[in-house]
Amino acid sequence: MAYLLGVDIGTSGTKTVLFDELGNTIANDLQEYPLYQPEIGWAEQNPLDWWKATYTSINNVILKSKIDSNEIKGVGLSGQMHGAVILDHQNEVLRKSIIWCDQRSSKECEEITEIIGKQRLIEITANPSLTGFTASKIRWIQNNQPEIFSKTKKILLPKDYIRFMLTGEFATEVSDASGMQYMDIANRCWSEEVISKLGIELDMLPKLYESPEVTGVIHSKAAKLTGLKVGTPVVGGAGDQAAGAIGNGIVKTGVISSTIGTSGVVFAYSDSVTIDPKGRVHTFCHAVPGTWHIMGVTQAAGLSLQWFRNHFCREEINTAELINTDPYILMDKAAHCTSAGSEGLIYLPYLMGERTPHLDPKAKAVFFGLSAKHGKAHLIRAVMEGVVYSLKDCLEIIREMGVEVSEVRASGGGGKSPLWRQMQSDIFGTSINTTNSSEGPALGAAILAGVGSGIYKNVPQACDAIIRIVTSNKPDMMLNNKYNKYYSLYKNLYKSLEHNYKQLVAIME
Amino acid sequence: MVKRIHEYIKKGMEMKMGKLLLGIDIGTSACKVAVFDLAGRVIAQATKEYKVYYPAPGFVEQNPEEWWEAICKAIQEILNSSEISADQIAGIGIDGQSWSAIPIDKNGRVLYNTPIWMDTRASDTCKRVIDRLGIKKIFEVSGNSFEPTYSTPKIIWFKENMPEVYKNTYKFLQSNSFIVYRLTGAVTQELSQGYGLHVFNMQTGTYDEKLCEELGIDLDKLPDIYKCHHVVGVVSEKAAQLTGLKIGTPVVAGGLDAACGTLGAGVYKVGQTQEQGGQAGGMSICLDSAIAHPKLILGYHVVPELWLLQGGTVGGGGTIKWFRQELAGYEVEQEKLTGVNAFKIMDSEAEKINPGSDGLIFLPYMSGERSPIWDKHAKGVFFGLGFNKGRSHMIRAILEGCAYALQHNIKTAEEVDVMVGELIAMGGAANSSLWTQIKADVTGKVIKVPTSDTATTLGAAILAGVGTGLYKGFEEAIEKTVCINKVYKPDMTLHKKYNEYYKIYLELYEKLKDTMEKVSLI
Repeated sequence: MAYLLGVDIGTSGTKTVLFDELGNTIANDLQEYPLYQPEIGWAEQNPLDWWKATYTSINNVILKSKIDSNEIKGVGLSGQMHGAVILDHQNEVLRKSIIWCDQRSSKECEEITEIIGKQRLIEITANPSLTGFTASKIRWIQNNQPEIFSKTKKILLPKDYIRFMLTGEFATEVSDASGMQYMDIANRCWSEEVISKLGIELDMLPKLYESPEVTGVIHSKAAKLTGLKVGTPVVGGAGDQAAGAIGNGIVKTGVISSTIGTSGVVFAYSDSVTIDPKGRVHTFCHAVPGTWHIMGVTQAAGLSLQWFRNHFCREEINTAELINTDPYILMDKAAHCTSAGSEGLIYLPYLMGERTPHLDPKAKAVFFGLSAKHGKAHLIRAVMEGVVYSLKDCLEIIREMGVEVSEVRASGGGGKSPLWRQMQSDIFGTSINTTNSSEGPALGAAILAGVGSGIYKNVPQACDAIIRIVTSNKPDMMLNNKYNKYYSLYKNLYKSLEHNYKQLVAIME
Repeated sequence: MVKRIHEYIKKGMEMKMGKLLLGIDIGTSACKVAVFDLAGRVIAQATKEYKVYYPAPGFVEQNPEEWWEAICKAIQEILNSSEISADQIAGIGIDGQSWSAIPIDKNGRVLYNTPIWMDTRASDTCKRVIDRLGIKKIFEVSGNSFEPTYSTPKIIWFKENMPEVYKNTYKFLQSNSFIVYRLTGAVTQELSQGYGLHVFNMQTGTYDEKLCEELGIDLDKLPDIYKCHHVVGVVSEKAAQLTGLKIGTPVVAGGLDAACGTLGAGVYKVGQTQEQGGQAGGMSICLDSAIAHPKLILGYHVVPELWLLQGGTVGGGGTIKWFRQELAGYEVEQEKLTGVNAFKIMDSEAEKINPGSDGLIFLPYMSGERSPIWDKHAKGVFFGLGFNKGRSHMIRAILEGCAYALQHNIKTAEEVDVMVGELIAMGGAANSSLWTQIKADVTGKVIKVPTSDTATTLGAAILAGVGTGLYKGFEEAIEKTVCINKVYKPDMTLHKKYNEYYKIYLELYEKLKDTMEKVSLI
């Protein structure tokens, strides 16, 4: 039996999973590390923490699995996207990594938009300039820490720094690199226009591969620390979104994923490059060679329900502790007792502003339509419905771009709630399925390693062999009809309030 | 020691022999009866509940006989259980809910339950009347809009839908005049409830015969009009038997509950404004001429030569109670643990939040909204939530939202050049110093809180005291009975800041009202 190793460098920790070639989990391990928030809105991590977590977890997995590391045929890397790791001429880390959720670079985004031109930027990189993307983070270092930037010889993404530590190679792959905003997305290469205009040297950027390609092999120093064999191939891997999608089988036309984690993501496969001229959804290179994916993002998805739980569900939290269950299960039950549409209560989930479809950091959350008949259960349901309306916004844009939607696969913490899945089915008007995939991006990374090491012919074939549908929710078209009415009001509400969000920010300043 | 005993006896004698006044309030869920001494102190009080009937959508009725039974029981309870002798009661004043239409026949029988102030059965009637006559003509006489909740459309509804009842009706009475009738046999209508009848001329305080004719209401079915403090009769033998009161006890015409409450709060000078923070909110501005606004309610005060311009909003204690019941699980748990009232805990949490709730704005229209927007489809909204804002922000936003609703009414009144001076707060909300301070800051007005929490029945009792000559006049009555407990001064810097949020508050409704209606219709 051949074994494959998936490593996911997440925000809270590095998760390493060893799979057999059929995708069964043999062993896993999680090593956590801290997040530094030196100022409000800033978020940094230490790349050396990631490295330590990585070699420790690989070592632990090999020990736990009791298999001979000779049988590990490939390593796939996945990780948090967008983070900026910069190295000097001796390949030493110059400063902590400014990671994806850091918001300090809004001024830099304006500069980038100004320098490249708003439309041109979307044409080339398929995205407007956003604080989340690497380019604005690097620009911030250029503007605010020029002495550090002047020493910068290499710019890497989090998982690609780990690749360097494992193999000594400076390499990345197209799915993760799409999130740097230095790529020409349609042509799957670095954009010399963007790079030169932003004052970046081409040799600062790593070599660009397709995701299943082998980018290097484990060198002896890494072999000692990890327990892997020298020479084990390391493939490109993928950004966590693309790797998660591979692990969920989003590798063919018509299959879409809807993920409710802290944020919500609607992710669609596309075999041609389509870019939303308004930049409301992101088009990235997919980890399946020669294909792309389109992604819409709801900023506060699971976060909305978590926020509600923390502030208003003290009783559920207490009860859950007593009967040894999850408060979300009790909240689900309460919401289940109210009817579709929450009797006219509508929630706009803009607790953190919104990405898709508004690209409006000033947007705020709203409970609309409250009346004396509403109780806590209605509010819980309204929060869940509001999140799904926002995901439907993503889905509608993707449909408008000509992408076929025949099956939606639910994942993330929210995908575990049967009520939330049925709501998605009823609101989207499509079937909602879940798969046997439980290890998230680590499985996708391992699948890519399986393709790169020749166990599988290509990514879709690997997915067919490994991924099965385990639950399926069918839409109730009567409810779909009712929800459509509420959804159209939901859409009106943002339009009505857009100006007031701006007024509010003006007063607050 | 001896001296002390003497004092004690003297005090006891005063108590025993001193003259007392009886105030009766006919509320929606219960009647309240209270006995006051001449200093306005409550000597005894009793409350008895009765039912509200909802026979069909829009129909909200009460049986006036049930009011009467409850009042008899309450008076008996007071006279039986306290040291008060019926001899001591020198006068009786009654206040009651607005907009009844109680059909009684010649023998004093109630022919049908009265539709109460929430009843909207006459919606179609209203539309037809407005189409036929135009609202201008009605507004010019009455100073009020023509809404189904008023008495007039209900009388027309009886005529159109229950012609037998209408035909056999000797007089249509108001809530307080019905109890006056049961106590004394006098058939009356007084000035302060006149505003429920659109044929009542708001300038002259008399019926407008021409409008009566145009509306098709027989003028002789409306009782003669009296001043509120006028002694209209005395307790009859039969009423004495039922209540335990003494035969011959003088009874004044009484008045509208809100107007009596306004008087009991000490509002009897031009510009003084009563601010009501009960289940719902509201305001009554004291005027010396009849200045109407189509979005507000104009009526006579219970004090002669004065009018009240009133606004009523849904945003009040009911909203914060809703929050406590549905979303304040933590505070309720703390109440159980510490014994501190959950409302107090909620207040202290809200107090920690910046004025303006860091940009969270609440529209308190949780059961539609009354003045000045008059929109039954209006809905509650929390606007401006963020991940860093939670329960405490929402609590403060509710308090502020209710204050904006008050400000909306005050600003509306000021459109017709009405002067709003100091506010005098009543109701449960006035117990919250945070809420009262927020109202002062939002409105930019001084708010005074009287000691008494029984302003409405006190107002009715004052009418009896003035009517029977126990007080020389209203000024003396107020001086003797009303005492200001606390004064809240507005912080004008905060007032400016609140004004910015208030502008958004107003805009939010304008932008959302269409969607509010649409969501009601799904």
